[in-house]
Parts: sequence; structure tokens; C-alpha cells
Amino acid sequence: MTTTATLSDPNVATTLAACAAPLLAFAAIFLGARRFARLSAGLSIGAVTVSLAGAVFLLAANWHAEAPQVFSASWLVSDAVRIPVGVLLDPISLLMMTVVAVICFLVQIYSLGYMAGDPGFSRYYGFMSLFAWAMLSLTLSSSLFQLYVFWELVGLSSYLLIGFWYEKFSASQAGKKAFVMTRAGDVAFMLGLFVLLVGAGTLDVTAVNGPAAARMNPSLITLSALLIFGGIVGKSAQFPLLTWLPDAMEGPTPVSALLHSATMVAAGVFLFARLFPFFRQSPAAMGVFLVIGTVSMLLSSTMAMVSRDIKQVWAYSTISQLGFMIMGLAAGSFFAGVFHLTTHAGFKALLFLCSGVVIHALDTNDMFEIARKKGRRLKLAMICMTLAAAALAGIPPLSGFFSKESILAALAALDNPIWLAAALLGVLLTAYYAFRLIFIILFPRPELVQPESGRGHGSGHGAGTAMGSALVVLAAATLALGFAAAPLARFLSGDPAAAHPGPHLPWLPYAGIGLAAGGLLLAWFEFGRPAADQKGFVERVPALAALFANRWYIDVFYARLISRLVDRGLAWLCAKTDQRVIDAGLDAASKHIIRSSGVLSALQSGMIQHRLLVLFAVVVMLGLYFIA
Amino acid sequence: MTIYSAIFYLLAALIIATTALAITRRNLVHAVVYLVISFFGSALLFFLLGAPFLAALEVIIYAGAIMVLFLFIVMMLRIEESKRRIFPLSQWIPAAVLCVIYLGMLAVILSGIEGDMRLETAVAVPAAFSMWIFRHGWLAVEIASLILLVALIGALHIGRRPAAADKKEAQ
Amino acid sequence: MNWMAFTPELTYVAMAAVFLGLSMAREDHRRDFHTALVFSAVGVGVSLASAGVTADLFAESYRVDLFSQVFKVLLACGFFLVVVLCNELSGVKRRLHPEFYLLLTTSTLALMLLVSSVHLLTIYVSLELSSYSLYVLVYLRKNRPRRESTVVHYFLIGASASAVMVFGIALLYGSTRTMYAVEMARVLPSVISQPAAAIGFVMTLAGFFFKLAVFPFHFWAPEVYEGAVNQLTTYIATASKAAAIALLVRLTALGDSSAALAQVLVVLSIVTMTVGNVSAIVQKDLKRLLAYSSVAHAGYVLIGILSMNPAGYAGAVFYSAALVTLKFTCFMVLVKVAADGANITVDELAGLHKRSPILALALMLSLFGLCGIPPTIGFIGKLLVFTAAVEKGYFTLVLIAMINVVISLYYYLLVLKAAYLTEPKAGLPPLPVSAGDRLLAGTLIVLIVGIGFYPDPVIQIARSAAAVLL
Repeated sequence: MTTTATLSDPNVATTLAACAAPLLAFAAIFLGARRFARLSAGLSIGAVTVSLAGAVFLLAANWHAEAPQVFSASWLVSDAVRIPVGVLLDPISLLMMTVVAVICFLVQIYSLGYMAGDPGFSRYYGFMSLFAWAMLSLTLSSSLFQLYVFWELVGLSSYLLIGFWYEKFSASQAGKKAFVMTRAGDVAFMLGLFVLLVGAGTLDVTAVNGPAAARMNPSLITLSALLIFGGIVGKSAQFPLLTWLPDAMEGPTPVSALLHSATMVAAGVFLFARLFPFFRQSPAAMGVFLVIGTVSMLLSSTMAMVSRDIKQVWAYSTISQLGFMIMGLAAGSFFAGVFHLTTHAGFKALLFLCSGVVIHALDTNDMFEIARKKGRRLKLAMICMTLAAAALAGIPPLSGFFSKESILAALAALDNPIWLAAALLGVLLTAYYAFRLIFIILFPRPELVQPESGRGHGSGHGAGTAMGSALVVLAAATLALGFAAAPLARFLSGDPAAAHPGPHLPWLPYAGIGLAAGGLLLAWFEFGRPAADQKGFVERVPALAALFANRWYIDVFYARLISRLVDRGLAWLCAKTDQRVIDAGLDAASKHIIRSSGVLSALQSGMIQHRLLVLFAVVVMLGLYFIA
Repeated sequence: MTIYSAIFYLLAALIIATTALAITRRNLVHAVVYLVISFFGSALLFFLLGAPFLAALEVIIYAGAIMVLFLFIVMMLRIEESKRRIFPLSQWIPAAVLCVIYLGMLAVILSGIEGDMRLETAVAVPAAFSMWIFRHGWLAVEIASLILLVALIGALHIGRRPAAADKKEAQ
Repeated sequence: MNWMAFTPELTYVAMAAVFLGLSMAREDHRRDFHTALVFSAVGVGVSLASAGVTADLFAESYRVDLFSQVFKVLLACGFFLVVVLCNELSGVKRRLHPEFYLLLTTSTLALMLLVSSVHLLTIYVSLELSSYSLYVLVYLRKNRPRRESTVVHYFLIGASASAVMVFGIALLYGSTRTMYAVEMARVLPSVISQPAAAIGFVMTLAGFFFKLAVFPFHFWAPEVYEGAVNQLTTYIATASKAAAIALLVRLTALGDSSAALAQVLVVLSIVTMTVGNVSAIVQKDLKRLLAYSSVAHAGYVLIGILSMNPAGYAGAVFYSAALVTLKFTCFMVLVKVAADGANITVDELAGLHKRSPILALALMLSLFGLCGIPPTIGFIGKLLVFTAAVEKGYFTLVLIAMINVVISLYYYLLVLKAAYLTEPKAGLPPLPVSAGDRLLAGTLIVLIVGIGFYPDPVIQIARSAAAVLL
């Protein structure tokens, strides 16, 4: 059902150009242009503009395309080993490509203002280009092997960007944590691919989604689906690997906007959507996905309710919205998940960029601090942020409302009402924490507001033109995107009715709006109204607040586990052999026995004998094993 | 039991006994002397097996040159009878483990041999042996000479005293 | 006798003789360096010129064929590159420079003899010659506390490995009644089921396990890497490994028919790479880290060798070329950064991207290559080795190797993070990188990426070299 294209095809040529441009920019920046900050930024933005134009062209050209297009070649390593590489153009990849290109473009424009004067300006743009290349290529990969390679490259650029301000923040821990956690997921992903390769004999996306999977043993399908989902869990920060994302906010804010909310973490959900037909073959796996999505969604919402750091609130909300997407997909509605992915990319990037303006101007992440420093005077940023928060909460007629409705509708179609109930609870909590933040900043308690003569920073320079324009574009998208539901549904699944999956329940939209409004009112009551003491209902129950603030002690659990298992186990052992056996052994020997002679100390430390014992013993064991 | 095998077992017992004595003595001179006896035993064993040349080499090089060198060093360093064993008890354990492992291996190797394998005694006359080695193995001989050169350089540098010590002694 | 086939070796004999003379002459380290440079360049030329020669020399104990000649070219190039790095040989007293070059030459000569030897006795003495040269070389480092203990440690493990090997050779000779590899290949399949032959065979491999730092013979690696002069460490990590791989391939090809031998190597491979990778994580000293990484790579190479199919042998040959390139690049950066010949820790790479962008780039690509990220030469090497193993059905082994690759990514990235993300300490000047160094770094970068993209010619060479053995 796919058409095979050749290199001369305009679609393919455009795709390749769109992918290659950021790579060339990255190479140019690191090979020569890095001394010239403005040139680097120009190269990078120019490249991403090419990608954006290419993506828009492709989306327009293929809007009515009948079948996915595949262009594949094989990278001839030698005549025995061929690795297929290729481009797969189908609705999901085109949509994701456009989303990525748009957000990359806007974030890079925005960064012109945000990163101005940073000593690592060129390096920043270099890494941004690297990321854009990897992410665009990931979305277009036609085989899972290729996807995996770019998946790792995306992870690498994320690691580089989180640690960008290595000196400034304690970002090294965060980078490490992000690395280890996503790596744990990636190992599962790789194992899943391996199972898939053994079972289906191919890693080609269209084949895996179609005929190849049908040949597979059902239990193998479930196994590989679960393992691949491990990769999704890692990358999209779902339960139980969800704690790395809030810590990853140590990087520059535009990076958070780009990688850790709109695009990179969404790659997990994208992979889910990409293999959706395959995953659907295993109802058992889909059930597991639904549970994990729901648990992540609820857990992270509760964490967002008590955090004081605005970037962390948005980070938790990202996890929770990704959980929503996974719920939608796992409930069987391809459109609901992908649509929410699209709208979420818009409003979440907007939220981060607005927060970036505020953080940049006031130099703090703490929402109470921002309120005290009169954050609300940054008018453009606050308006956009409120708008985006409303979209996040699901207030009509903003984009988030529509996409969340379709997820709710998909969940309503399930037999068990508990999923719908959980999602509705999630809607309430989302509205509550989003507006908690907004109200705290907008309505500071008067006795705490700093006198006028505060710092030089202030409303005077909020968003520059570069930053402002990015905000306005995203705000417009947040307003408009919701109405694109029907055409998008037709584009994605060939059926406009997919926008409303499941049975038609007239009360559902009202319930959604009602709960969102309820959350908003609760937030107003506790934080907004003039007499409010700005203390949430959670904070009145210290045990609960501590539980939420400590992320349900997931980190503590991991820390214990890891310190037991890794630090005290393996690494400790290795460190010890290194220190005690060699250094201390020699030290002690040379100190106590014979000071002068190093030769004798090596002989008498007792260690060399033990090593030789191991050596001889192993040789003989192997010999015996050989015969046996 | 032929007279040959009787002599063989006698010599083998002698070698093991003297080697054991050599590694357990606290007095280094005694240890070296026991080792010399052990080498003589080995030389006789080679002779018995029909390799007079190898037997002669064993006596000349090992029992003669190397052991005399050992004795010289022991005497020059004036090492007193050590209070501690040269081979402390804590090292017996690894050694014992190794012994057991290797005996096990030997047992396995021997068990794998079916029937008896007879070694033909090839009486190697020194002249014939040298002709053979220089005809078939002269590359190896040349390489061995390079090893000696390298070892010589190494001995020169590792044995050299640090410059500071030299000066001190000069004063 | 066809002396033409022996010219590469003779060149190095001449070079050794010249340096033996120079060691007795007046001290002049520039003269020594330039002499070494010229001779080693001539050595590369001669090796290349005699690349196509085939001959049987020295009563058939020495075979010159494509397999040996490919490795000789590799060794000659490795030696030449190491000599290039000796421009600032500040870790050795100037008075001792001729000795340093002399021993390096004898070691290279020994490795060359090794890859051509097909007689167990010649193999053994060549191996010893190279080992003895290295023992003394390790000692030559100046101002190193406890260098005696390092050397003794190295020597004892090396001597034990030799002892095991000689014992193995004796057992092997006892059961096959031959020392010639060709004849052994004929006799061995019928006797390999006997314990004496089997144990003897495994023990014979021990000498090369020691060279390659395969568990349990890897104990020397961290200390020697740390204790040796940087240039010497480079040599140990590149040329000496390549020769060890060559011999392992040559000998394993003899025991081709034995599935049990493959099982033994599987066990060694898994343990070796796991030990190497896990230990590398906690290392602070860059050379120690690279030592453990070498141990891990020995494990990966074994995967190719134990596959015992043409693809596996070709993969191992390719992998050795890749290792020489990648490890040399790493060490070149290390030598340049540690200008005074000292050891450096990972943290001291801080801000390398500012101090010398091209060295930082070279480091990045070589580390990517070592962890096997495409498109680098290292990726192709791993791919060839792993596909060969999968062809033979070693799924679990490849899976474990891949998990190991993921672990290794962690510490390689730690090094990269230091080089790229950390700012240099205030006051550190940009590194002086001469035009020659730039050219060298550039060439290596092009090689790493170029062969990564278009590996076919090199693979063809590796394949035809390996085909000689079968």
C-alpha cells in the first residue's frame, strides 16, 4: 500500500534538503563559524528555516495524498551487510515533522534574545542544529533501526543541552540522571527491537505495522511491544522513570521549551503513534500502556500542585499531558493522541517561552518570588501565559479543550468507566495547578510586594522583538489549532469523524468544561481572591504535601536502590579493587614493611599472588571446561 | 619394574623433596644449595631419557651459572637468616589451591590418554642437535639473541643506581 | 631464499642497530627523533612495497602472505605514528632517548616477526622479544614513583602468561607431534577431543590473551597504561594489540572445528568486556580509563574471532585496524594535552574545545568510534563483528555485547562532557598545535569518518587477508 519514490521525486528531494540543512549548519558552526556568534546563529536559523519551508511544503503537497510514500536506499557497508536507510512520508510523520520544524524555528528565533551575550552562544546554536537534524530525521525514519540511531542522537543532544550551563547550575547531576534513566528505557527499547527482529525478521516500519507482525507469535508481539514501550517510558518520562524530566529543567529555558516539552519527550508518544497498528495487535500490552499513562498523569499532576518552581510545574504538567496522550492512544484512538500531541506542543512551548521571559527579566524561578517582583507587569508574557494555561486546563475555545475532549471521548468508549473517571480527575487537577500558578503570579499578596525601587530589571525590558514575536505566533496557534480538528482527523485517518471517537455522549464536553472550571474556581478561591492566604488545600495536610513535593518518594526509592545495587555493589567493588587492592595495598606494604623498595612491596603486598592465582585458576578451569 | 623406572622414580622423589626443602628454608644459602641438588636431579633425568646434551646444559647453566649467581647475591647482600619465612603461611593457601587445581588438570589429561604412549628415545648428539637447531630454527636463535640484547639493556638501566645515590657514595 | 620478502624486518633490524650505536654517542634528542622519524617512514614504505609478496622462509617456519603483510603495514603505520608523537618525549630522560627508540624498534620488529611466524617456537620467542622490550620501556619513565613495582607487576603477569603458554605448547606438541601451524591444522581436528590437546591449545592462546589484555590476563593493563610514558602507552594500546589480534586469529583458525573452543572464548569475551566496561566507569585517570576500555575492546574482538567463520575473521582484522586508528587518535589528544608528559585526569580535559577545537573534534570522533556510533570506522567494525556472530547464532552474546556498548557510552560521554561542556580553568592558554599536528589530526578525522561512510575497500582487504588463513 505504499508507493516507492525515487531521489528525483520532489517530495524526497525536499525531505532530504529539510533534514540535511541543520546537519550542515551544525558542521559549519563547529568547523569554523563558532568564533562568530551572529554568523552561527544566522546559519542555524537559516537552516531551520529551510527545514520549516520544506516541512510546510511537504504537508501541503501531501495533504490529499492517498498512500504513504517510501524512499529507501541501502547503505552499502559491504556486499554482505546492507543497512536500509530511508524516508517514510505518511500523515503522522509529516505532521510531526511540521510540528518539530515550527517549534525549532520559533525557539531559535526566541533564543536570539534569550541567549544574547552568553559566552556559549555559538555552541548553543550548534547543539540546537544537531538536535533539529536528529529530531527531524527521527520523525522521517523508515526503519526502526534508523529511528533508534536518531533516537540516541536526540538523547545525546539533550544531554549536551541540559549540561549546557554546566558551571552555573548543578546541572551535572541532572544530566547524569536524565542520561541514566532514559538509558534504562533505551536498553529495553533495543531489546524490544531485537525481539522484533527475531520474530518478524524485519525492522521496516510499514512491514512491522502490516504483514510482518501478523506472522508473529502473539506472545512475542506482547513482549516486544512492552519492551519497546520501555523506551517510550524513558523518553517521555512516564511512570516509573518520570523523575528525570523536572530535573532536566536545569538547562536554558528555550531548551526546556524545545526538548523537554514540545518535541523530544514527545518522541516517545510519536513512537507509540508510529507503531500504533503494531501495538494494537496486543490488547494485553495496550492495557499496560493505559495503566502507565493514567498513573503517570495523576502522579505528576499531584506533584505539580505543590511545586514552587514555575519550570518544574510545567515539567510535571508535561509528564501529565504525555500521560493523557498515551491514555488516548492506548484507548485505541490514534487521532486523539496525535491531536493532543500537536496542540500540546504549541501551548506547552508557549508556556515555557513565557516563563523564560519572566525568568530572564526577574532572575528567579520561584513563583512567589516572581509575584513579589511584580512579574505581572511583563504584560505580553503574562497574557500569553494565561492563554496557554487556559489551553492546558482545557477551557474552550482554546486548542487544549478540543484535543482533551477527543481523548475523553476515546476513554468513554472503554468498558471500564474508571479510566474516564481518572481522566476527568486529571482535568480537574490540571486546571487547578495551572491556575494556581497564574493566580499566584497575578495576584501577589500586597504585603509581600517589593517596593518600586527593586532591581534594575523590571518590566522595562520584558520580551524583545525576537522573543515577543515567537510568543505571538504560538499564542495564535493555541487559539486557532483547536478548530483544525476535523481536517486533521481526515488527514491522519482519512475520516473526519475520527475527531469524535467513541459513542456520542452529549454530557461529556460539559463535564470536561465543568471540571476545568471547577479547578479554576478552586484555584481562585485559594490563591486568587483578595482575601486568600495562598495556601493550597494540599498544603494544609502536611503529610500529603510532603508526599507530593517529594515526588511520591520515587527518587528516594531509586536513590536507595541505586546506591545499594550500583554504587555499593558493582561500582564500589571496582573502585575498591582499584583503590584498596592496588593503591592501598602498595601503600600499606611499602609503608609498613620495607619503605625503600618498590620491587619488594609489589611482591609482598600479597596482591600479585592473588592475581596470579586467579590467572592460573581461570586458565585451568577454561581448559577443563573445554574438555567437558 | 625395570632398573630404569626404579632410577626414574628415585630421581623424581629426590627432585620433589629437594625443591620442597628449597622453598621452605629460612636460610637462603641452604635454600640455594637444595635447589642445586634439585637441578642435578633434573639433569640426571634428562640423561636417563637420552638427552645428554640437555643434561649437560642443565648442569652448566642452571646448577652452575645461575645458582652461583644466586649465591653471590645472597652473600653480597649479607641477608641474615630471616625471622619470617620467605614463604609466609598466608601464601600457602593460594599455592595449595593452585596445586590442587593443577593436580586435577593433570589427572584429567592422564585420564584422556588411552593405552600407553611410548616416547621413542632420540639420542641427540650435541653436534647433530646443533646442526638441526641452526638449520631449522635459526630465526628463533636470532630472535633469542635479540632478547638477550634487550635484557642486557634492561639490566643495565634497572640495575643502575639513581644519580643521587652515586654522588652520595662518591662523597 | 627470497630476501625481498624479509625487507620490512631487515629495515627494523637496521634501525635497531643504528640506535644501538646512537645510544653510545653524544646526547642529542633532536637527532634521535629525526633518525627515528626517517627510519619509521622508510619502514612504512617498505612494508607497503612488500605488501603483495608471498614466500616461505626459514625452513618454512616463517610465512609471508597477505594476512601477515596487512598486519605489517598496520604495525609499521602504528609505529610511525607513535614516533611522530615522540616529538616532545618529555617523559623520558634525554640521555635515554636512543634506548627508548631502540627498544620500541625491537618491539615492533618482534611484532612483525610474530605476525609472520607459523612455527610455535618462533611465535614464542618473538612474543618474548616484544614483551621484554616493553618491560624495559615501561621502566624508562622518569620521575615516576614506584615504577619498579609497575614493571615487576607487568613482568610477573607476563612471565606467568609465558609459562602458561610454554606449558600449552609442550602439551600441544606432545599430542600433535608438530610445531608447524600448517601441519597442526591438519592433525589437530583428530586429536582436539583429547584433554591434552585441548588444554594445551587454550594455554597456548594465553600468551596472546596477555598481550590483548583479555581476562584473566588483564591485570597489568591499568597499571602499565598509567605508569608508562604517554607515547609508550599509545604504542601498547595500538600496535601491540593489532599483532595480538593477528596471532589470535591465526591460531584460532587452527582449532576451527572445535565448538568447545568457541564456548571457552564466549565465556572469556563476556567476562572481559563486562569487567573492562564496568571498571572503566569509576576511573579518574584518563589513561586508566582507556586501559579498561582496551580490555573491553579485547572482549569485542574476541566475538569476531570466536565466530570462526570468514566474516568473523575479516571482522576481527577490520576491528584491529579500526582500534589502531581510534585509540591512536585518543592518545594523540592525550599526549598533546599533557604537554609535560604527565598523566592527566579526565577533568583536566576541561574546555578542550576552546583550547584546541581540532583536537576536541578528533577526540569526540574517536570516542564515538570507540563506542560504535555511526558513521565512524568503529561502528563498521562492531557491525562486522556482531553480524558475523549473529550469523553463527550467538544472539545472547551479541545482546550482552550491546548492553556493554551502552554501558561504555556512559564513560565515553563523561570524557566528552569534560572536553566540550566544562569551561577551562582560568588562565589555561590555548594549546600550541603545530601545522603538522593539525594535518595529523585532520587526516585521522577524515579516516575515521571516511572509512565509516565508505568502508568497502578496507573490508575487501580484511576479507582477502582472512581468506588466506582458511
